[in-house]
Amino acid sequence: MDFDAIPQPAVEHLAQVQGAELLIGVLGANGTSSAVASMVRQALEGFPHPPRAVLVVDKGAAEPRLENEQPLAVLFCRLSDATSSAASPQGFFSAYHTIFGIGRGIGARACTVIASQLQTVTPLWITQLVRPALDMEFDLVTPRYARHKWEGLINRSVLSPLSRALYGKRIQNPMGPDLGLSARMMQPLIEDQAKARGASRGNPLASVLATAVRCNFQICEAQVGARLQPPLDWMNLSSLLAQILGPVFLDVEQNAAVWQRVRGSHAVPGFGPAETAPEEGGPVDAGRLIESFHLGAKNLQDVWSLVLPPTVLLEIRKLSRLPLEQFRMLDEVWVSIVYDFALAHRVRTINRDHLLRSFTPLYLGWIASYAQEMGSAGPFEVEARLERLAQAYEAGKPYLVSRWRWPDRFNP
Amino acid sequence: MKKAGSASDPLWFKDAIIYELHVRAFFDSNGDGVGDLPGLTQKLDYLQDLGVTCLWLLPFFPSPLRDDGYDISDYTGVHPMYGTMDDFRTFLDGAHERGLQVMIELVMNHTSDQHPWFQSARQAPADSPERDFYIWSNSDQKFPDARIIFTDTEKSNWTWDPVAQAYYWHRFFSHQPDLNYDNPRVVEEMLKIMNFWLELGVDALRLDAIPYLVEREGTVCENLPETHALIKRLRHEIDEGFGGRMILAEANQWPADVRPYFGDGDECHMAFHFPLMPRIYMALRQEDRLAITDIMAQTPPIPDTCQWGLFLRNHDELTLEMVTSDERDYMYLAYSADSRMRVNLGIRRRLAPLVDNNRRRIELLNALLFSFPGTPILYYGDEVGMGDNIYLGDRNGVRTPMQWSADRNAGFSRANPAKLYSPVIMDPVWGYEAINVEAQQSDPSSLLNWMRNMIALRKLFQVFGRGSLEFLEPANRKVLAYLRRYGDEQVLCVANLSRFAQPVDLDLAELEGTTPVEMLGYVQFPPIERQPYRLTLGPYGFLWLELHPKPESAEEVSEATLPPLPADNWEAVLDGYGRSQLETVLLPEYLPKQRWFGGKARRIRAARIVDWCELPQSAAVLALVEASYLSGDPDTYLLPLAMTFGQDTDRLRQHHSNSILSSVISQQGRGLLHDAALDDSACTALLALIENAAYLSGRSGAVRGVPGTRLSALRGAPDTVLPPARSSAEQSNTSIIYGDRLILKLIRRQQQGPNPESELGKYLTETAGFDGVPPFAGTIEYEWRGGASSTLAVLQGLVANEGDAWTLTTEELERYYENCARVPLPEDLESNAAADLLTLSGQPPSQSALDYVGIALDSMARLGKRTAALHLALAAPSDDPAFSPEPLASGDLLGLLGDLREDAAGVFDVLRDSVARLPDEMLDLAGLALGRRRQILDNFRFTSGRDPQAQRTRIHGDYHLGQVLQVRTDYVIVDFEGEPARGLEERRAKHSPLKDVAGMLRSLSYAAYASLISYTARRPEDFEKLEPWARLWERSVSAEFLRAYRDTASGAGFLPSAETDLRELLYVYWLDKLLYELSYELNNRPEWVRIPLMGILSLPVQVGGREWTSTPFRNQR
Repeated sequence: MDFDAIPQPAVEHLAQVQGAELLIGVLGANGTSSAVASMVRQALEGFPHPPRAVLVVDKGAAEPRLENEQPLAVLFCRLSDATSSAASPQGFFSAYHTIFGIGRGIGARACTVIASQLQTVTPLWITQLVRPALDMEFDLVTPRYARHKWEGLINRSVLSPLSRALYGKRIQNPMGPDLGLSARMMQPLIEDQAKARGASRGNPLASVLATAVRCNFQICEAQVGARLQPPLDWMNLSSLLAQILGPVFLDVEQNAAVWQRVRGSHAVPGFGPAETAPEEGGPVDAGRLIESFHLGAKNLQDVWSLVLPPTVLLEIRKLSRLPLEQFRMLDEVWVSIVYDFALAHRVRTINRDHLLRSFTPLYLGWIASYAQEMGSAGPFEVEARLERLAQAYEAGKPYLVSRWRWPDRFNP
Repeated sequence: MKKAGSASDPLWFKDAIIYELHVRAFFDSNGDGVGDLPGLTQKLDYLQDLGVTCLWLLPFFPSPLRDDGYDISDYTGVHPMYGTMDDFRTFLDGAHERGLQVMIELVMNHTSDQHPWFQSARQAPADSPERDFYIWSNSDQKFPDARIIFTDTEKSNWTWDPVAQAYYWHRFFSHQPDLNYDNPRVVEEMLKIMNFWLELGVDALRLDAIPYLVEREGTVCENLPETHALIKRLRHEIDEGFGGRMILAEANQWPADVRPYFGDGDECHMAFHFPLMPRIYMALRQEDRLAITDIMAQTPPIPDTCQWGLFLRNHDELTLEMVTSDERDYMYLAYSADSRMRVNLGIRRRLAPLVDNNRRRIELLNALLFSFPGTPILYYGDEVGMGDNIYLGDRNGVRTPMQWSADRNAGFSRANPAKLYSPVIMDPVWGYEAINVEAQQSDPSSLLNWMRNMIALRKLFQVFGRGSLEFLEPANRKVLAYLRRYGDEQVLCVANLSRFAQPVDLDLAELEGTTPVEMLGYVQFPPIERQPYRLTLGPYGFLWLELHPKPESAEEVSEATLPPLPADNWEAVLDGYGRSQLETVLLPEYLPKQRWFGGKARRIRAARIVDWCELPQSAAVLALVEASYLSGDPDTYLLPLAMTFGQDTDRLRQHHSNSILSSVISQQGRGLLHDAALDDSACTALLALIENAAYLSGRSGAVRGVPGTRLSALRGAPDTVLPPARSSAEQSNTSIIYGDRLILKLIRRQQQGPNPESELGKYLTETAGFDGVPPFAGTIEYEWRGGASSTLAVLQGLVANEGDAWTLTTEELERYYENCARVPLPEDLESNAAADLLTLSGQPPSQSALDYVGIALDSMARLGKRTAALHLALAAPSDDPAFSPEPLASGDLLGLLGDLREDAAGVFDVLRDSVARLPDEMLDLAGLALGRRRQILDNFRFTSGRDPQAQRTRIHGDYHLGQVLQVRTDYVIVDFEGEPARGLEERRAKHSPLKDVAGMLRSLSYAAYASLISYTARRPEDFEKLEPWARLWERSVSAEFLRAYRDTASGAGFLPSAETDLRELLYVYWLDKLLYELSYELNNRPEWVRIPLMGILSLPVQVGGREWTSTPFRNQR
């Protein structure tokens, strides 16, 4: 068994579990572990033939403890060096790897990781994320959340359309964080992590889609309902963006040979009924966002000049002169910004952390533009709007490829 | 402890970019004037950034350094000048952390004369074990056939040792005695040395001078079988003990002689391709590709697990051993004007000075290096274009310190310049102040940045390291062109060896349809066609073109690319967990590929299985699927589905792949989910459903079989077996034929309400008694929840026929054009063309028509008569409001014109949006048609404004030659469904029967021009010549059809009483039909758009107050 990252007593407990088909890892369940076990038992009842399963609950600093029953064995243990998986990004990431390692170690046919806040997680989440991998030969199951138009904006504006353009898969949440995986999907993730050294050892979620595409694995989506989004810490937005985009751009760099061969995009199979989006919060104050954009346009001009081509800089300049009500960032401009930042990250135009932080005002500009456009829009209009954005990412991909291959700054 | 190598792919060396360097020359970390391992470690980031993947270190072992370290005195140590073994370990770890592999030297052939083995040997008695480590002789005449390699310094391969009182053997310098590999102890010692470095984690070993390991009398002492046996032993030891390692043979031989060093993949993984290098320089200077193609033709294939090592320059001289004496003389004259540039049999110069520091030449040579089949090896400093110092002895002129910056000692060392192991290059052109890494890093246009980009680009494509090579042979020999292929990667490389721009025509016919994309800038070039592909290259220009397949062959989601659906029963497929896969991906991909699917112009957002029920006594279901689009209303389609397992799946995959929806898995094994029309039991069950008037409950509605009054008579005896067969003529519906008796038409697009096909068929058969249609035999109806119904299928008697009128007419037209092509145009053709159709129909056929169109005139007269008979049957008085004729009032006409005008405007919108997708040759026609939009829309008008004194009745609605079957000498009219793209209510509406007449006239025009296009496909220049003949045929048969129609229907209430009204009404319907055709072709057959576009362009245009071109109905308006 391969349990490098978990304490020896937990390993001994796991050795007692025989014939497990399914591994369920729940991160950040401290304090609610018995409720989690109960929820997982309910989920297993939803299977036509409930699989023998192991639930690993990330249980803070407590001593490892095993409740070995049929069909579910529950192991309460600490999953990573961090005191809590939710406490630090590195702890969070290493918890994923530990779960994958346990999955391989116990010979599970499938594995799911539940990382969302547990208040909204239901037994259906587990069933939906696992069944395609367990019963239908899918390798990667990504979640599709019911969400209102102001939720998941980093994902909507960058992660989802970028991954669609790069890897050709139309997926709502390419980075989970809740996931279902087959045994053969876990294998390359474990191997990649073992090979990764130093700075490149990072967020496994950033590369999970690329790995699946590279290995020609089967990918699908599962409807899991509404997700409780952690409140956005506007004061630390720059750190958050750097934390998310850094590994994503690194993944883009490492998988250039993969995504440069992908042309067009396709929908992936989706499982489960779509759920109604949750209630929206209050209206977004675009004025404050635009102020931040203006401040960035004023102070970060020199940095952006190193990263962005003159046509985009000119568009930004024009944008910064527009009155609030006319503030609209064109999709082509936004796509070019994201692509140019990905390229600058690769060629290390400036320090990578500085680069990613300088992205923040531009991102706020995009949110402001989106907020103004979608203020009174219904779900279908929002869907159509994001589809146009995704198509702009796809249309701009040749630009990214050409700049990637010949990153000359002397360009239009 | 044994450490693993850093590469996970055992063939990593095939994709590698190797960088050769001297530790001594790279970077001095301690200021002693000599480069060292800590210095090299400090520069690892630079090497990683450059993009190279494997570092080849020249010897760094303890040595007297009389041959740049190739004279080793301790194989398992580090020369103190370069650091310690710990320094080496640190360097190795640092390289591995950056994903870099490390290759070191295994100098097997000889040691230094200072090596303890040699010192012991010379002092030990003759025949002692110590003495036996080397090759001794009392005479210097043994092995006389072995050549002397270092001709400049050595006179013999034997040197007298006064201590041993014997001669010892050396193939290189006399201070490098050769080891005796006939002594097993030597072999064991060398294996220990090899294992020592591999256990440290070294990834690769360069086997120095391996052709010379073993000597035998009577041979040239090179490439002997015993040498190969020894290498096999080494390789076996590596394969047994170490994964992911590589050995590289240094064998300066002809390719055919190097080939054995690969063995059967059981000797060396790699070997240098020595003869290619001088020939690249020769081809460049001679501006002729022959030198390169010639040596590559002499290069034998090697095992798949092996690789050639390619280089432009290295630490030795540019060797000219593997060229003819003439070639050698040419190379000396071309590349070493100063005799000091020569050493041994070669030229001791670096890359940039060899090509006169010409940036384009440097780039071209590197482009060749990176795109030839093999692993490129760069020599340190060449990435910035470093120069050499021909005033230094031996080959030291190309081994000067790396030029890092413009600082003292080129940034190489902080030592006193006098202390450097070698002077840095300082002249104005090549000196470190002009050429250095730091300056080039800050210059975006520098050679260093160019090299970095090229390396990164090459690494994206495994085809360069692993692909096959195929030279093209364009007439211009100054251009070198070759194809590289690996899996689905195809790259075309074209290089101009000349200093001037060159054109080239490449024969790429086998790649027709692929699109070249220039790889550096991702620029799309014109697609390759059968004709030679023309390119122009600038001086020393090169192109790498990635060949993209046709867009339609891009990756698609299909049954072959998705996991099978669980399918133990139909519930599992259609209600179970797999339903989502059907609805989200499989159906949205499947539907647009079906001929019968009418929503091809729209993008499907999702599909939903609305209802389904199992067909008794079959393994099939009837399903209704709703397709919703990104815009507009959804459509519902009938989709009968069946599952097939076992061997029959091969037949389905082979012949009906388009009808397969998904792979499935059940307890019966793997199978396919497909259209049930391909399943005999399903087809039989559909017939039984009608015969038995069966009722099947679905999930939300019900299916009911409804037999017609004539079913029993049509079917024949109940025990007669009627084997089902699929009709090949699938269009918007699917037909199943039962024996020679019945035909069942599956109505694919479902709309609630009576389907005109069953409604009219039933009326004409059972009420009107009209025998010009297939007899109605029954239907399958679907009852929606809420009471509405729709028709799933219509059963009719099968009419034995000679074929449909479209096929027969176009066949006749083929013969017509064949005949006409050989005769001059008749003189009365122009007078014939002057009159409009209605006028013509009142006159007897012209002599030209009688002479050339002949029998077709009679056929069309019969068709006109049959058409009129149909209209008379439909216009008969009826109590059924769906069929009773109604007066055609002027108000109806205004409403009709408004609707038609709106439809016409919509068609122009579709044309505008579709222009980008049209074939190039139709763009002009489309542009012209769009330019006439306003004028055409203005044609939807009536001039009289009075009631036309005519009737509206039920009509065929989609009347054309394809809807008419020839039965002996008469015709049977089929397919009353109406135009599939229109709504059910619209298709059931009453119209003037002239609408059908206009439809048939357009069809005759279509037949004339489609046949002409087909006939002239191979000789398009004949189109213009034959077009008057097409007009003659069209106008003659159309006039004859009209004449017979009007004669038969004369006096019928549905025809306008006034000739003018009849003319105008017929023209409006004609125009409407023309625009409908345009819309249909845009959605379904863009390559046929030409025909309706030509029809539109034949409409009159007002230019300068004069009307140009003529139409069938306008002359008298």
